[in-house]
Amino acid sequence: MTLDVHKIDRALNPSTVAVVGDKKITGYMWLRNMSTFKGPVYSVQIDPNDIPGIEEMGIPNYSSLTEIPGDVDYVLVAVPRRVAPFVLKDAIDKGVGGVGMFTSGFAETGSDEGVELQERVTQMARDAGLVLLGPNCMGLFNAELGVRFGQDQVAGEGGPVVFLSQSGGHGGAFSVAAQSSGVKLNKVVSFGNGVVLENADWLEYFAQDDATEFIAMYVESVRDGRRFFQLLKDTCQHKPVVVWKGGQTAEGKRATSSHTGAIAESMDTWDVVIRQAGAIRADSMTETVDILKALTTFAPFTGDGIGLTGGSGGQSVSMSDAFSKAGLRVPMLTQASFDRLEEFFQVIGASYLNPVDMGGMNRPMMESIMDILSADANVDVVVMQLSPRELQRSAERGAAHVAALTRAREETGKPVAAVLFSPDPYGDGEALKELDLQLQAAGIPSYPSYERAAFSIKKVVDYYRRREA
Amino acid sequence: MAQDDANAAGRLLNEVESKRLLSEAGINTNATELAQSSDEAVELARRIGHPVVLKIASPDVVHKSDAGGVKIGVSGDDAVAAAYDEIVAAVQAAQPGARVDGVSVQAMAEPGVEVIIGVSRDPQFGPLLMFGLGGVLVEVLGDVSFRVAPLTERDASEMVREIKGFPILRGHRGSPPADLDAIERALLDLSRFVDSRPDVSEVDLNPIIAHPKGLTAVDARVVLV
Repeated sequence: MTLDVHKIDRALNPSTVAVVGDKKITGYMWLRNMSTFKGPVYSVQIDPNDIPGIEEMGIPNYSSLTEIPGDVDYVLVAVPRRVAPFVLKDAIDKGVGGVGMFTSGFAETGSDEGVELQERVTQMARDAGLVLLGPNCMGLFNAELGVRFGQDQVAGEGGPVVFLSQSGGHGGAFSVAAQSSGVKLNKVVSFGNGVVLENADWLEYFAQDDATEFIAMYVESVRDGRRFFQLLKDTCQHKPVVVWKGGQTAEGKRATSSHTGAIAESMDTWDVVIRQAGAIRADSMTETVDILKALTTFAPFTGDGIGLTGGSGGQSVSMSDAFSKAGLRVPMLTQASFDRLEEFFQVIGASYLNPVDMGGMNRPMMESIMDILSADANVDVVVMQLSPRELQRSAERGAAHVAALTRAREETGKPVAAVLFSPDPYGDGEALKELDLQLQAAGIPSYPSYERAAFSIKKVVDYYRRREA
Repeated sequence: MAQDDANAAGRLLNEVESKRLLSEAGINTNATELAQSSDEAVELARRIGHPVVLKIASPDVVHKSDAGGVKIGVSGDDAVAAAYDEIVAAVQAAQPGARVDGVSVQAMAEPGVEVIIGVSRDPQFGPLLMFGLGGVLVEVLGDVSFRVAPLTERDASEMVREIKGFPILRGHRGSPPADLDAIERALLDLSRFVDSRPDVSEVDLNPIIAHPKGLTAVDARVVLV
């Protein structure tokens, strides 16, 4: 279908929202999800058992969508599947902006009735040109407007990131993971069976959406691989796209009678597609969020020389190993930096090669070391190890480290990241969170290991290098 | 069921047909003609010019050399006639019951580096192009690169350069470098060709000899849907 951008704009940025079929037994989860919505919320429910609770919440209830006064821009449908076509008809008659269909039990069940109902729903929505999310999905999270599909989602502030998800569960967990990591979300679109709008359509829409600077997507399958590839490739030329591919392709097995076919059998075509399109591959939610942390905080960069500091002797070696193993460079510093470091560096048991060792007596010179390292001509990205447990003992020292990192970034314009080193992350939970929040406020991504920092930086530098080559 | 399997596997073109089709796609192939008797082989070899290669033409023989079905650098009428008979006998001994269409008589290619270029089709993404070095590097180490069609020039360039064996193409121990431009052009030509021919489901050009200047596909298999 051709994309009607204005219709989708309206559905995803609603002024009014309605929930059809919310129930007491689920604790009115959908109306509670919508409690953060900035505009009016209406309910449609005809079951006398469910209505009183809705009215107690102060939400006006109607017996049909068509009875709601005025326009309705987004409707969340949570009715049993057999009722779904009737509600859809009302939504179409009402001229709503879009529908998120939480109702499940369609083609995903493989049952004849489910498949048949899905075909009916699909046909109705297509004929009417309705923006339909789902069925079998969680629908829309619009962070700024407070349209939510989970009560853990934080409303009130928008952001540059959009997450597209074939899985509602991943969409919800991703929202929490991203928002708690300081990755600011614009929207999360959970579209389940995607009968009208699927991966390629959503990608096409958000590629042209100016409010969206970064796209991440959880993909299981696409309807038209060629179209998806072309769109992905076009989008990545101006907007980073992180593709988290779930599941193995079921269509992998096919009859071949060539050598090439036999080798291609064992190959992951998605890997080729993602790389060739210039997108960023992630294999888990953690990787997706880690990459977004770097993408959203770093200005575009193409240099892969990493300047490392903050560790003691052995830690410096490990840092260096991790970044080299990830395919990044840990270059020697310039002579000018050596000369400056030599003025104060306590060389006994410490090294002022890169990584610049911050063990023992050099620790008080943290600010000077940061300044020299970040200004070094061979260094493109600065990564500093911090110890949350130690910094928790002195708020002043904690703040000084964050300030040194912030200054390094502001004065050099280079990407700056932190590794929060803890030998006991569960025990240090509070200290880690506190320090991470300070870093988030300063716009500095932090990672719990050298490896995760290195992985994320490598993914991002590879993206920009490819785009700018 | 057997019928379905045959359909799923497609129709395999023989080497002569495959090369003709790929020539249309712009790929340089060595002159290849089918002989159905030793006399015919002698005549074709004269026309092509000695020395020649003789190769079994059979839809059932996949590994032609292993079956004794290939003779290289054959010169002179008597040698050509003898090679024809020897090949047919060897294949019949190695694979009794194999269908034999004859023996192809082929021009010898200039020396160079053996590479493989192939096409398969992915059910979701369509034609996939493959590139690798010929022989053991592909079969044992799987040192190949893939891209989905349509290829861009950048894709072709990356495909050639990302295999581990790339230094061999740049010239190794005094051997001259292979014509990388020609390889990239062949990849692009093949990408365009299969993109315009949905009936072509699989292609093996194995090997292609990449010369210091140009290349020659000396064996080819095309499978039609």
